Amino acid sequence: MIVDFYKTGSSFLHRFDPRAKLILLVPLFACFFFRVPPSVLVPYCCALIALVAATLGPGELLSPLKAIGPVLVLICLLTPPFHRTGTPLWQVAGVVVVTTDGARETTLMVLRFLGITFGFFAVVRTVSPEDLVLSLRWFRLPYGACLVVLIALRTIPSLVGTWHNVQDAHRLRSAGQERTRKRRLSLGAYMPLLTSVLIEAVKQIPVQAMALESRGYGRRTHRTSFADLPTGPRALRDAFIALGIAMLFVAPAFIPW
Amino acid sequence: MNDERPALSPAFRIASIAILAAVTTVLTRVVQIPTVARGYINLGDVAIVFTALTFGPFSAALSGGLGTALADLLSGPFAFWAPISLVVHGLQGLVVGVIAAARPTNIVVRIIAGVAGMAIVAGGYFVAGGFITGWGPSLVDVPANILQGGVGVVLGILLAIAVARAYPPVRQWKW
Amino acid sequence: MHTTPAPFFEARKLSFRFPGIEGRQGRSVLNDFSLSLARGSLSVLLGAADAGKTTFSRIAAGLIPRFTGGRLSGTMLLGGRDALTQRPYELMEQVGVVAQSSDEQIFLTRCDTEIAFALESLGMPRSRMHEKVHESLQIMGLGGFEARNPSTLSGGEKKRLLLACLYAIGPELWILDESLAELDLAWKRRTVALLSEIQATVLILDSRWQEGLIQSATSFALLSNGMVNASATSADDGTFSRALGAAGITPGEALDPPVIRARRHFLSVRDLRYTFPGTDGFSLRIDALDLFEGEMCCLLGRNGSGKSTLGRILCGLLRPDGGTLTFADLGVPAFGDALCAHVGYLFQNPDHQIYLPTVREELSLGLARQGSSRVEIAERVDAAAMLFGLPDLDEPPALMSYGARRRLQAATYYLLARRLLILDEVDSGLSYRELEGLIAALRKGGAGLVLITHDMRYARSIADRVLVMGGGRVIADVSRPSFSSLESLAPETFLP
Repeated sequence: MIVDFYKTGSSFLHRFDPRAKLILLVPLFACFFFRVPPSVLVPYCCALIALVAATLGPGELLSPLKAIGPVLVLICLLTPPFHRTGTPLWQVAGVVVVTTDGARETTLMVLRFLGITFGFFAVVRTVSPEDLVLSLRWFRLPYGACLVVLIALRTIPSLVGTWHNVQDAHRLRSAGQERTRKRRLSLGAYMPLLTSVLIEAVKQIPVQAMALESRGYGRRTHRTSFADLPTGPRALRDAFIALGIAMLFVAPAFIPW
Repeated sequence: MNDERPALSPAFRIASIAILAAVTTVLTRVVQIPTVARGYINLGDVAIVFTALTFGPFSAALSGGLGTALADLLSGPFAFWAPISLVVHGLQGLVVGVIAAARPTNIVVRIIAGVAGMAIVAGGYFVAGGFITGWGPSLVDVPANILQGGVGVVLGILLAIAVARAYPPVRQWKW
Repeated sequence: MHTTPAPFFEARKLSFRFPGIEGRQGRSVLNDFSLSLARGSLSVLLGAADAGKTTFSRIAAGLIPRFTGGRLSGTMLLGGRDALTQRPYELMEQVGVVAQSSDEQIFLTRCDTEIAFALESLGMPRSRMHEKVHESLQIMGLGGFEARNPSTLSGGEKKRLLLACLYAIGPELWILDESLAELDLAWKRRTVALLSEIQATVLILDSRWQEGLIQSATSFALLSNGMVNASATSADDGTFSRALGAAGITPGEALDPPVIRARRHFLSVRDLRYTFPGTDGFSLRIDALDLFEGEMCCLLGRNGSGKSTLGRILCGLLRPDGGTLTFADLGVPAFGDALCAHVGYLFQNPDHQIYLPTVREELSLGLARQGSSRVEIAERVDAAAMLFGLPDLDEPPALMSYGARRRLQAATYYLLARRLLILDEVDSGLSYRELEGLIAALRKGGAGLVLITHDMRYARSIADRVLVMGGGRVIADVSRPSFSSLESLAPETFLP
């Protein structure tokens, strides 16, 4: 299981300011919803795919493509039947299967799905969890909320370990008794496992709260900050680049196609 | 001095939301039965229903939204669902918690609460998915989401009962 | 005339009871507990697993009854001022606790931010924070660990990280709750030396008498039945030593050398090979190993020598890359679920298999499936509960003390009648007496025992056989009459 969505690297995208990357997700998302001809979106899609290949390595393209493959197939199958206006492109035994409008809508949907997937993928893989939280703090998310995200990220791997240990412990205990030989557990068999894990997790709550207060959370004095995102010329440069890219994403909306 | 009750201070609330979010994320990623557009059905709803019944609507809304969003981010390709999951499951947690709070231990009310949550999840993902992948493919996922929601309600209620029996201090942590 | 200065820390007649649940009264942990510590002194408070050491440390830090509920009475003074009404975040510069379990106190994803968190709370300016974090990491031997995720650290490194966190804060009183156990000897010494350098008042809590460590301590106390029942100002105090022995904190003085009982050849291991995933080729290689029912065996070795992995292979949880395991009496290969059915494994954390609301249900769990009648089951459950010291069958296991949960874990396996039991460091946090009791009870069932432990002295006193592992190999396999050869075969396992 991937416990970190962040993949370490030193490409320009990795070093690009995380705040700018997160903000760019908005125009990225929006641009695929504008009413533009599909051909306009093709270069955007290709650019995003190329970005992933260039910054994370071509191998990284496999996992998203494998995951979204079935969706793309479904889109191709299920969009044309709902868009039957326009001139028929393909008929089978007198039944219109695909029309021009249908083809256009399908292409649009495919490009939209591809673009959004790869765009988000590129950003999420190049922003470290700590930078994500620092960016959220910069966006004025309250400190408590940032702390929640960090503690959740720290707890996830240890819970996964607990889950595996609980599975092992239950397996040892119930070995040798009448049990189904199936490899997959029936849903009911999950109950003891889930109960053990939940009790273990829930017991940690007061204990972590104790640790937080022992390290001063709750004091009335103003809290200083150890780490912060850079605000120098590089950040400014990245901000300008981001502005330019945002305008590029948004531009198609203003051109009368 | 009399028996003191545990203090549900800000530190406690932060710890509880964080840990319950982590539980939601782990349950979402642990059992994955692949479906189509959404990626997988999982036990995340179990965690959200459990949290709503045990800790209340606010814990469930915040931990449910954050937990599922983190699970989406960790999945890689389905990262773009994160903001959507945040809202949909946040609402689910809130609604289940609020309805169940009306009659805290009544099993029928709990089931109603769970089903309402299920409707929000199926509906929310259907609408969101409709925009991103088209209404057709999005419709295909509704049965899977309902199945997942159903499992969530049943196991979530059972777990809330089981954990409260096996670890009684948890009953004082509702807020 | 010489007047003794007022003690820096003073607890007077502290009594604490956990909150009751469902009509049952909560557990009373401290009962008129009084303790005083002079400023700058190094003191040791010893007590069995559930004597109340951790509870006391949390009371001192203001965490109990704030987070647990319950009833607390008595007085506690820090530097002359009443400390019981203060919040934990107000006390942080006066009292610092390093918990027994490191994971409880780690909550961030980088070592440097973990240390800095407390400094941020104190409002330290950023540049000073960076200096302090760097200094703290250096001084605990974690230089260069700034960006490391604490969950990737070893047990000893995590403890050093927590010590670094406290060093950065610089509290006046340091309470180390069984925290030196995970450090190796060099770091134990260095830590104690560092603490005396910075003139902190230090209280070490422990459930074992660790020779060689406590030479510099100036005051000793024994916590039992909720209060300090014995104290001393030097490690050689005879009365105190006897009190420790009586409480089970030191190995029983008159330990009858265990009788080597009849043993039956149970499991044969030949040519076992296993390569650890993700490491650079570190592998387990065992050419021949035979295990016997009825035999008490101790398995020792450094951290990372492969003890736990071997344990997991022996109970069927892990599949070896090569080699064979055979049930000796049946002559059939042993693997997977068949192994699990005959070999039990007690995890270091007893809570992994606890999920039922009462002790009775936990104990009865496996028996119902074996087809015994209800009367039989009840009888066997009662007998096991008696044997393992679990008098209250209706108690919720999740609320029982650590020692009781450990006994419950052992009792469930006893009832399942496994032929071989592997106990993975179950001695951590238990006093010698509790451990001896546990092992004696388990041996009654006739099972073979393999106790994975770090304590060579203890192993020699109770085991029939000692196995030592190093680098993935068995470097010593010695039965009782020849234990003296262990010193030359495996010198590194001997603590001076």
